Amino acid sequence: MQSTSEPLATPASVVAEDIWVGFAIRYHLPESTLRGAFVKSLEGLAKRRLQGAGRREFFWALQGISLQAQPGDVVGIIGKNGSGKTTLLKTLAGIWQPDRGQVDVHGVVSCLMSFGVGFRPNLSGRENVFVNGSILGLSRRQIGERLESIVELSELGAFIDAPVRTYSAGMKGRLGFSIAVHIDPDVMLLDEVLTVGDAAFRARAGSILDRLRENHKTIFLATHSLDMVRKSCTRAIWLEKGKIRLEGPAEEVARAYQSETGG
Amino acid sequence: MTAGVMQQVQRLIRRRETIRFLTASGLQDLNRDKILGNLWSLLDPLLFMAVYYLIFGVLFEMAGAGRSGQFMIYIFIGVVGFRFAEVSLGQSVTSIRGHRGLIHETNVPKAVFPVASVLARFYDFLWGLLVLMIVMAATGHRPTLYILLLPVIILIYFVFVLGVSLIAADIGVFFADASNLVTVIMRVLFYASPIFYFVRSRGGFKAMGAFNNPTVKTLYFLNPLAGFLESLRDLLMWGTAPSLRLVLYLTGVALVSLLVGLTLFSRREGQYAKYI
Repeated sequence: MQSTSEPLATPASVVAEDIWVGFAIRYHLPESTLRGAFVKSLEGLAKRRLQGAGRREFFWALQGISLQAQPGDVVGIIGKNGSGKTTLLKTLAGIWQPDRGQVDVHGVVSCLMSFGVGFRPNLSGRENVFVNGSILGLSRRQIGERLESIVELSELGAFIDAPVRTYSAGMKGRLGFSIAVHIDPDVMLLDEVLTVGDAAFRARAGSILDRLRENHKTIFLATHSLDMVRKSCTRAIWLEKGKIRLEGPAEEVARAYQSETGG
Repeated sequence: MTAGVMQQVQRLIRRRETIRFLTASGLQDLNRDKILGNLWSLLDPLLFMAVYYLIFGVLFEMAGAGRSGQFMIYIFIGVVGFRFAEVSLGQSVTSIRGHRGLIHETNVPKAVFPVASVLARFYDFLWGLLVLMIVMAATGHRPTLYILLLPVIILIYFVFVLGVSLIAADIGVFFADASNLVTVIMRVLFYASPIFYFVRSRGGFKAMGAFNNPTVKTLYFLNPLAGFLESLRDLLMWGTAPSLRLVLYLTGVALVSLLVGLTLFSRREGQYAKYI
């Protein structure tokens, strides 16, 4: 899918060409006791001797995905659980390299897969802002300049100086989101995260997405909410078993997906 | 290979601020809620030294051989030096798995995590040496000019520990058992390194009989930790320089370790997130 408007003025910010990502999956046998585990491991050894490979399989989570996105695109990624939505986002983010194919991303990438899992529990929220902000690619000065605004958006108030282990899941989530949007990314990857938090926070998060789009950023949004796809996305990709089933304008893809899944 | 290594080094240098934050937060995170806080960086080697002094100095009466206090210093250098390698390796081997959350959210160069672990332990190591030198100065020990070589040996040792830690971190991604293995290897190396016994006869200490055999001695010094600990003692305690051959050997081992570690990261870090 190529946008025909302004082909020279807006070069693609994200290009993926025929990417394949596979995982080696090892199946664990159920084992409840140490003795059982020992016996099974002996059996397993014997079997492996006989069968060679053992219980290991290779699974292709993404099978030849190609896509392009321009600045200003908000691309919704929909599909059932296990269709490859998260794997696709992580590949675009460079968290791992595809086994085949190529990903080119121009500009700063920020991704938000889950909220606040990278925080250090014994450090305060403020200290974690500096550590995580730096890992996400900000300089110390940039973090210092944005600190006030980060704290404000997170609505943590005085709790920003309390250890993160005392935070609720929602508090951690708001702080994680607040840091992520302050990265000022060119490409933002979101994985089903905007559904946490209360209504007021969701509204704020939505308005920030709108602002990113107006500033000609590229956004990818993996979600199960067709409402969100219709409301916030310009385009959508429907993934099925690691392949693109349908790609096009958000409304069109959402309608096709809805008519097949009945929801 | 070299292109990948150079690229890896450049990416790490670009991320030096991240490494600094991780190192500092690693030190704080560890000590924040403890009453004695960062004093533990000093207390840890002091307590270990006290234990070894009691066991080997008092019970085995090994301290009697040297001047009083000398055996304490001897053990302290051994313990502080060994702990740097031991704790760095132990933390690095789990450092990628331990940062699963962050690694699954950003494409930060994965090597920042073991590098930060080693730097935090290096900080403890330098503190330990500083305390030792203060104690030695206070007890009337006068250093010779050879002390100026100390930064060189420390640098080579740092490169060695960093390289081996990167290798351990890489292996730790693919094998969860690697951390158990590191524990066992370090326990073996503890006894295979000159921490509480004597390899060379010096200043009233008498080398153990086996080391009169030159072949045994040569093989023994293949263990780089033996060379590093004895070099530190040469400069700090005995006021002499380690032999050039030993220093060249240690430099070679250190550079090879670092090259192997960086190569492993540049080749395989793109797959790490899949395994953790």
